[in-house]
Amino acid sequence: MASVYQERRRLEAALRRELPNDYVIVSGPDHPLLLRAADLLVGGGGSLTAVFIPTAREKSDPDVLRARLTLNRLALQRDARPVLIAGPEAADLGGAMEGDFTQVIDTQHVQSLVRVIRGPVDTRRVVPKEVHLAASHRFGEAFRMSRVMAFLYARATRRTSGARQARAQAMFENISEPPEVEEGSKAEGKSSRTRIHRIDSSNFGGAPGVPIAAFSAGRYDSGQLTQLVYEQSTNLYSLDGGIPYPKRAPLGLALVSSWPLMARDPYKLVRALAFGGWSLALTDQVPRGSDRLQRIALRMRAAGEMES
Amino acid sequence: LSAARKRIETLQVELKAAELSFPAAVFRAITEELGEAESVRRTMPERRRHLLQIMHFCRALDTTLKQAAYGPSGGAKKTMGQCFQRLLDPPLSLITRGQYQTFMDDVRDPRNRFMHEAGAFPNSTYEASRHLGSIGACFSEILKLI
Repeated sequence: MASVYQERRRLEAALRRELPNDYVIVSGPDHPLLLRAADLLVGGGGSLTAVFIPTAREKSDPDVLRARLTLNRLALQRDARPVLIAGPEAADLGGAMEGDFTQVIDTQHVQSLVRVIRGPVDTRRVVPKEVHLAASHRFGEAFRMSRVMAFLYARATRRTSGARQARAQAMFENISEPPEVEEGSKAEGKSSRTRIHRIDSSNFGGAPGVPIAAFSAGRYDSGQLTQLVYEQSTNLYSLDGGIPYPKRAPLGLALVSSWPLMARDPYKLVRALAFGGWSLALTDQVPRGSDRLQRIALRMRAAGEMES
Repeated sequence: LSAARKRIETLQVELKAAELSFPAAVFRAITEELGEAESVRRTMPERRRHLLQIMHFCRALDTTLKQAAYGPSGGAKKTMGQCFQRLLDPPLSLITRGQYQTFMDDVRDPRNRFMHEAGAFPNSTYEASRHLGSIGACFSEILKLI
């Protein structure tokens, strides 16, 4: 059986043969808001098609594919057409998810895929503008909270001017104030993977109802981060007919020992975690029961209520 | 750098999907700007490369933004800040307050510094990557609005 990577390459080559030259195809896209984008994106004729090739895990657990589809639908253009590639071995998955995709296509039926790509917009699966705005609001709140915590960390570890300190304090008091960007420390280069522990927030003074995940020191593992984001997306959105409708649920707080920064796009992980509903803070920045934790929890809950 | 080929290709495919919203010449110009950001990847010295990449990304974003905020006929003389403001305010209300602030801080401010201030260069590859990542994310979010 071909791997997802091989299948991507095969489909990419087939589409390059079958589609006119002005169609743009990217296999394994690097989307700035997503830890795992669709496997292929095809743009042309005024629309976007997102092709999903299920992983072994997604084949055995449709909720994983559902979470990936949810985040892609929120990150890509509203009228992007999601297509699932499912061979005979994934027939059950195809059947279970048929309503969420514009079409479920057998691995060998490239012509069917070409017809979808060159066909009209799937009007039944256009994500409403309000849904995208709600996702943007949640992302904005989570991302800015992470950055405020990064800034406060930077302020605590180096000398800054009085004006900048006052600004940082203002940012924390009111996130709508313009912040400055500061970097925290780079992720530690330890070889062992970080471990993620879920914390019962009802016993973590000051943050009842807010999901909390604590990362141990170590190398950040994209698979674990993806899993965390998928779990939260299930809490935050309900996928119906391929459209991810927001649910009222608080954003989460991830406690880390160092900022997960990447060399190629330093904020990519912070951004993608925020898009998936997680705000980051260093573990010792928000002690259990602290006033700061209570205020963050308040914002996490308010953002989940979708009040912009 | 975040101007790595895969990221640029991803932005290009999203741009291509919005092609019909642009006049043909404008679409071609934006596509070429993104291509330029990739083609300067071997330019030396490094700080010149960083500046060029940021410039090409910003020019692509600038024109896309004017299209999103003012349509094909307006916006020629509008600033980046004015475009974000228009997207935020009614009747458009296409972006949230959080997005507006992030765009102003992460995109407009560094863009103004690097484009208008003599001697301003990113201090390191890391800093250049940070700005390119933020501009790319903004570009992707604006394309969703078109």
